[in-house]
Amino acid sequence: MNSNQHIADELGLMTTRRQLLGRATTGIGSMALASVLNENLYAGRPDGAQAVGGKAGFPNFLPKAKRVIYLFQSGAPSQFELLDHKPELEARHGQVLGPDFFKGQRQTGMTARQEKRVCKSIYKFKKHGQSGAEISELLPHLGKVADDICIIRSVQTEAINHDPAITFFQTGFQQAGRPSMGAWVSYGLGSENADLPAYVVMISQGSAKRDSQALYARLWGSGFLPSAHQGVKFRAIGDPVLYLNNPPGISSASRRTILDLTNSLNQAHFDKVGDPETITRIRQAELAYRMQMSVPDLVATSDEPKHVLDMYGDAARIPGTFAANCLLARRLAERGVRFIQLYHRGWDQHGDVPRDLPLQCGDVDQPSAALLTDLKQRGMLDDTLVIWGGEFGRTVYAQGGLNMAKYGRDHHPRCFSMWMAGGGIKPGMTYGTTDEFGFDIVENPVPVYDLHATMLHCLGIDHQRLTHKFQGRYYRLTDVHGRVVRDILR
Amino acid sequence: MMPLPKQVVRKQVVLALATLTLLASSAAGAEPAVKQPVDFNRDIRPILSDKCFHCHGPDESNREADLRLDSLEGLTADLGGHSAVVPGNVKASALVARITHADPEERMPPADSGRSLTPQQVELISSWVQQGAVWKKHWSFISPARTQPPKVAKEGWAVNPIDHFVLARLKSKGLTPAERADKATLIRRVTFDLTGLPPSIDEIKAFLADDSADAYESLVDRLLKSPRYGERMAMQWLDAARYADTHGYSLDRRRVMWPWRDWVIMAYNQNMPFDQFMTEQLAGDLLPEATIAQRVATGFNRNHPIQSEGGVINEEYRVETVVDRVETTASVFLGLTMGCCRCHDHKYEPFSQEEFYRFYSFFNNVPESAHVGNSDKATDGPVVKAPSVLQTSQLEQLSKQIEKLELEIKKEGSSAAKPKLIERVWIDDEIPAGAETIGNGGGAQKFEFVTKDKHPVYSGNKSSMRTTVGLSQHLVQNAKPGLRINAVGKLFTYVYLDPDNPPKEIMMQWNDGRGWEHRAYWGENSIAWGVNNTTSRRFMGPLPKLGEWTKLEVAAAHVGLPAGRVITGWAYTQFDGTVYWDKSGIVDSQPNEKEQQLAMLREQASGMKAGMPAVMVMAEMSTPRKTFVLTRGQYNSPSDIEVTAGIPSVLGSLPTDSKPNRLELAKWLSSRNNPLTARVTVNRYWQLHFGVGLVKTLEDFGAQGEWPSHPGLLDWLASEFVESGWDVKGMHKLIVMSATYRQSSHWSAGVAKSDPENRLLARGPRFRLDAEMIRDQALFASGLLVEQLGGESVRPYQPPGLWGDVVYENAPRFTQDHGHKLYRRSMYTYWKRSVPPPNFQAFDAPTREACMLQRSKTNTPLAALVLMNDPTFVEASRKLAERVMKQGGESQSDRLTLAFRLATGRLPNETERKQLLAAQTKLVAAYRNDLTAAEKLMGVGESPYDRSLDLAELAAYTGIANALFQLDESITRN
Repeated sequence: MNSNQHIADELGLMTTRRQLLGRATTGIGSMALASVLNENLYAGRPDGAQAVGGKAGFPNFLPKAKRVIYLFQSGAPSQFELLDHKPELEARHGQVLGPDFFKGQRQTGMTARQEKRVCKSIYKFKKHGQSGAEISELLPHLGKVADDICIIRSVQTEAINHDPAITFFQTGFQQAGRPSMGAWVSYGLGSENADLPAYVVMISQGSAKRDSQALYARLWGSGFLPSAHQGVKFRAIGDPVLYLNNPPGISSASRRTILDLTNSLNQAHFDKVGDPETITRIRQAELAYRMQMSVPDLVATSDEPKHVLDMYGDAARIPGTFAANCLLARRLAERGVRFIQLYHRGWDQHGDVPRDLPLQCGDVDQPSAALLTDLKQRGMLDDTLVIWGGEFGRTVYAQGGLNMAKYGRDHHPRCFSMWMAGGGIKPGMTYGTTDEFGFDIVENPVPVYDLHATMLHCLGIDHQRLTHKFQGRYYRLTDVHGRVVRDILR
Repeated sequence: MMPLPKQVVRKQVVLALATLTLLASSAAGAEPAVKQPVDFNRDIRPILSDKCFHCHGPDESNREADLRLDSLEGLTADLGGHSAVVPGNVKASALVARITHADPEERMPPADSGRSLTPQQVELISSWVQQGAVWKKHWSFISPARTQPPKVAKEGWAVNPIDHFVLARLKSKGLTPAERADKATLIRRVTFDLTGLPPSIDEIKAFLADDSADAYESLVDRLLKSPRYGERMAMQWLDAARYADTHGYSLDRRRVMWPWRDWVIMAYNQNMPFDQFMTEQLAGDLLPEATIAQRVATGFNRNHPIQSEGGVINEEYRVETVVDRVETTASVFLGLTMGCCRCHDHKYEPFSQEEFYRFYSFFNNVPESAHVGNSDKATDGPVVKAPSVLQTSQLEQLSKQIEKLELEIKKEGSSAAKPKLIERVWIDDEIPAGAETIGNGGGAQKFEFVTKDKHPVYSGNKSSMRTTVGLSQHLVQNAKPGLRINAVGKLFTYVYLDPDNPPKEIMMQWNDGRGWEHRAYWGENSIAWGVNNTTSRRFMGPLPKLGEWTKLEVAAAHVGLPAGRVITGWAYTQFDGTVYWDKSGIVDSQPNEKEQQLAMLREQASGMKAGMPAVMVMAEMSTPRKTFVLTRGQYNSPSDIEVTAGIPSVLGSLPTDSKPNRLELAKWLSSRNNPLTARVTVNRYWQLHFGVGLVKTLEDFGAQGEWPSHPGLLDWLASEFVESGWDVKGMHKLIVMSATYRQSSHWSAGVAKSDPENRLLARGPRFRLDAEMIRDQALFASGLLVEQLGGESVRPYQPPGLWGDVVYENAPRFTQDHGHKLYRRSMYTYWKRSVPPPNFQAFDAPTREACMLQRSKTNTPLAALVLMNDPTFVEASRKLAERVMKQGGESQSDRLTLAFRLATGRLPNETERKQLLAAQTKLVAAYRNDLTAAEKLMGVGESPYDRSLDLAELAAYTGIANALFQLDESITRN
């Protein structure tokens, strides 16, 4: 918690807390303390929900979504093989594209100087569900939930290289230094669960290992917002949350003894000095202690019924996989975590689509669909916004030669496909149209800023009002851009 | 604001009048009317800037209704028979009319802008107009006046002029300063502030015992002299200069900028005046006869991230790099947000987009590609081989000694001039020190000594012997220290050729550490190595006489071995036959002592230079790059507006008789014409000691920045700073000597409520320590800290797999250091931008990807977990436990007292002692019952534990220390 923000609240509370704790007492029992700590500091929100932290006046209006699960596919999955069916490419396969075709579109240094031949998809598409959404044979499970999702084929970005593109997607700006979207949401809305961070990040390694692009702490960082809003990584290696577990040789009972000593000495110090920050410190230490109990419980998915585990697939039983993380995402969502971000790596298929793309789809298809089904069965899909997609699209032409046993595609920022579901998004819809080459958008472009604005809108936030003054300027996730894509709202 | 047609204006004035009457009547009630004189810069500009400039400010392209409220001309311009402001005439001022308009549709600012005015702001603006609408240039653009400290009562409390300013402000609010902090608190506070570490127990005791009037001042002086001072000050600077140990983007590989970091430490410790500190970092390379250190200093503007992603367009990132330099330089030295006018005119400040690119032009002239290769040694752009701090002083000393010796030798005459030849034997019955022996080719696979009872021997008891058909040899190599060749060197050996089995050819070869290409042979030309008639193959004559010992001599220079070379290997080679070799060495002039010394020093110096890392620095291209205004800030959209380097005109201009470059910029920054740098710098120093700057927005002194809490004090400090010759240590001393600084930091409830941030300074500063200090304190208190100034960054403990989560498949993973590198001060911890040290991040350390002038100070469960469970803190806890068991006396109570004191700097009171005892008793009992747990706890961290101590007690004290390191009091400087 930011001390400055809290001082006023702390001062308001101090009397009550002191009365509760008893001014003369020098030590306090953990039970009494716990009851104090559980009190909700912030109430009276427009949505009637109880939340801890957050900015006054937020959400700005009644939200459709209470939380977001963002399934980020790092490296940029190809739209041609997955979500944007281009049958015309069959006929044009091998056709050389002249410079005029590209209308000044910038290319990466990897293919800027090569001959560019149109490349078809070797994977078939099928219409699914009542909506008739066209989805690739590589995503059979997604096909089964086609009527729950809204496919957007007309997302566009400004960056053409991974680092700036992913930074742009996560922070609204290509260069480092801005807060990530999860940090913005945490800053605006706070947490629904006092015992867990508002913003959780999980990373999984794609099966196409050699195609893994790097990630950076800044992607879930808080930028110039108070660092309490940065994403907290949940990990499969070591402690599920960094430094969560007691060191070898300190039992839970010893930890309690140690913490009681800390708390009572802190309380005595507060009585003498009177800085409310000390009380916050006691509360945060207690929260840490509670996390020691609650997080292992949260990440132990062994208590899930077999049919649920089966729904997410065998990989759900292996910690750290995308499937296991999807299941965890649902458990975090149930517990009121506001923004849950998964990163799945390995989508950068410059070469060998036939070998690597099926591997990647194998990682994510079943668990992504299972997550939607699982949320739906629990009645949570309505107020959980799920987003799936990468940082840009891929080129209609093949990178290197047109060898269909090993072909690949370069980066393409002008248009690519994502899907969204739940939390106020119209289900069973395909939005936006690209031209026959999948090169340009013909109808309904959705720039990244608009995606951000729409996401915030679903959360009950006017993207123009979620601002923070830094260096004299009011910054926001959407900078000076952004438009809510009302067409896809239910 | 829309242009106001005349008739509408009249109507609105009437409405406005009605509203004003309403305001006045309400003001007469609960809210007092604004009676005190309104100060434009303090009261009005912030409102106009925040609420109006966005649409009616400096940015021409975004200006609505042609109305400009950021200048007097704009405010009073004739807008067709009326003006926004008519000084002294509220009724005639359209500005007032529009902000008080009864119709919400007409009222400014527009309701949907989110910039509505509060009634008090409306009232302030009206009063300002009424009082004559005095307009002033933005305060920070006016050079600080040399203000006089106000006269105050209670002069006795004041120690220096700072206190006069503070006291005057307190008095105006009816407040009095707090009592002085107790001495134990004070020494801990000032020691942390000036050195980043807590005081030792001995230092605390000495200070408590010192009753002299200047006890505190001598303490401050001692701290300012400590080398820890430089480390502490550098910590703050590293954030500002976005220093890190990796390139940041994409591969995020290692870089070597730590010599720059060490330069910063050195500069602070030498108390380099701030104007020089700034000049060397911005333009050290342009100084006349720039030293290596001055060039390393310019690494300041090479600390930015550098791209390494394949397929990027370099120019795009080169532009970003230059923009980064502009933003960092402007933030750090001017407190200005220049980055805003990269794409358009500034919305709040009087800077145009063109002026941005003028400033940009200073930094646009570096020969760099903005792309760095995929290796841990890759650099981009200009570099210098830079010595570390330690090496610098050693090198300086060396070169001084070398110069001196050279001069003396020149005077006295070298040994070569009047040689006194001496024979030195290198190989006789023994091989040379450190050498290895080999035999190869035909014959024995070893170096074979034979004795004189059975074989011919020339000297001593042994010779070396070899029999072969064809080519064969035996040799020594890799000798250390080797055989040094002095002037007039003549290599020699003795040889005996078996008359019953003579060779066709014999050869000697020497290795000088660079190779064997130094050969001499006798007899037939049967061995193919080397090139005839060169130093790699010299013909010396026919084979010597068979059956007798012959001395072979070769002038070293003849085989390419000049004086100064060191022979590390000697080979005896033959074609056919049986050959005996004996007593090899050199005859040369005995160098005098001075020459020997000189040679040694030269070797040291060259060895040191060879091992130095390449540090990225600034340099200018010989043909300057042209700078154009970039349309919308896009790298690929240069406009046709070419600009030359310069500063924003509102701040002044560079002298016209000089070529505008970085050095000229630095000179202007250091001059009295620059209103900002001194203010911005002392404000940062103030923040370091008080937690909040006099101007809270350290990074923004512009229109959107905060009005100073004590404007007079800020200006007085700024001018004092310049007057003192930019004396940095002097400024810190001035601040920490003040009575204001020395106040108790206890919150007295009343003031706390009205001033929770302590802007009025009615009490002493109290705030949480930075991440680095929290760790350093634990290492220090436990006795683990290894103090060593500067050098390569180190990698202490971190949780497993953090790099692997995010880096490329084939990129390096984190490898933890061992031994003393685990315990260095935290500022030396390896900073990988994509994965910054996680335990520091929990305490608000930045990623160092961009300039950061102020860290937040959050208070989170994740930080609590670090203190509880990070092996760093657990290990420090058990070492502190060991320490108190060994040094804390016999009784539990005494030991706990010492533990408490090590963590907080003070003695526990009776209640606290009881609590400690109770917890200790409980923990001892628990560990007696579970010694395995105690043993496990002792295994955390790599330092061994003292097995002679009672294990259960040791574990229990470890638990106590763990509690103590978590205390709010421990991680706060009170």
